[in-house]
Amino acid sequence: MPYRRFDWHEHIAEVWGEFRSARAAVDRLRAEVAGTPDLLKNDRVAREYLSRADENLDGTYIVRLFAAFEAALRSFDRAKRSDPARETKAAIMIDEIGGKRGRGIQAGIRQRALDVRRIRNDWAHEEDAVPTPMTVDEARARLQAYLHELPDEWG
Amino acid sequence: MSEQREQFRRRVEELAARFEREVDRREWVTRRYPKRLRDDARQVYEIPALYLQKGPTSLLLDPIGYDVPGAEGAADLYLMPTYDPTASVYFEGGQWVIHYAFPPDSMETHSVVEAQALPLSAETINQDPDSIAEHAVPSI
Repeated sequence: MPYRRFDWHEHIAEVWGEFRSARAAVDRLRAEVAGTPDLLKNDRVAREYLSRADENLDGTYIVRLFAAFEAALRSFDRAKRSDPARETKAAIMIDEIGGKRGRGIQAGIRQRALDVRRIRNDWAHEEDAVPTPMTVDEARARLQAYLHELPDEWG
Repeated sequence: MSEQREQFRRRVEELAARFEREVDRREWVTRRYPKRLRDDARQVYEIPALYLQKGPTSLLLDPIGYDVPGAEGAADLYLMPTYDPTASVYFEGGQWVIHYAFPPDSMETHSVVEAQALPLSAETINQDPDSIAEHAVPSI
């Protein structure tokens, strides 16, 4: 059965939706703890790590969004090359994947996806440098726009 | 087959059919696409997603599921191809209700609270796609 681009879009949309739920939960908990400081007195670890969870939540989801996006590209790359074991670096796939009719993908769309990859790397590798700011919504939109350039089905 | 899943499938069929029937056909073209979901027993089932196209503006009515707090079903309306959320449709109190979302500020990292809910009708169905088409600016 061929892979459907629609399903990959949906997978990214689901990860983004999970982020929105997680963000609402963390925001709500932070607000409640601010009003009731002993709210987490019975969960020492949750209390100690709440601020870090808040700070790292967006980055965590950018890593997950990019993983879903990379899985889509890898599926397409392997099908196109008829090589189910092929392992191409994400940056190369972003630059070299041919799009709907093999005519290449617009430079701006490619660059916006590469920017997300760079920020994903900052978060995933826990570089000392502060990651460049990018919202999860922005990352989702950039990756979905790139994916839209692929054919409807492959494999 | 779970009763909840079957009920949700019927409600989404009805929702897609209402959009198809009541959207202004002189301006909007619609196309169904089968969406695969998993139910509580991890069984795959299909329900219709619906693309709506008016000139360069493309929207997707995307069913989400029935396990939603305070509702018996949910679908999102996205601006494509970036999947920017524009509205949500919930099955509440025996009817579909459309909730308009304030588009999140591109630099806003914290959650945003929705604003307005209206029962689904020919008027609200057309108001939403038309207002999106009028102001459609993909987030990137």
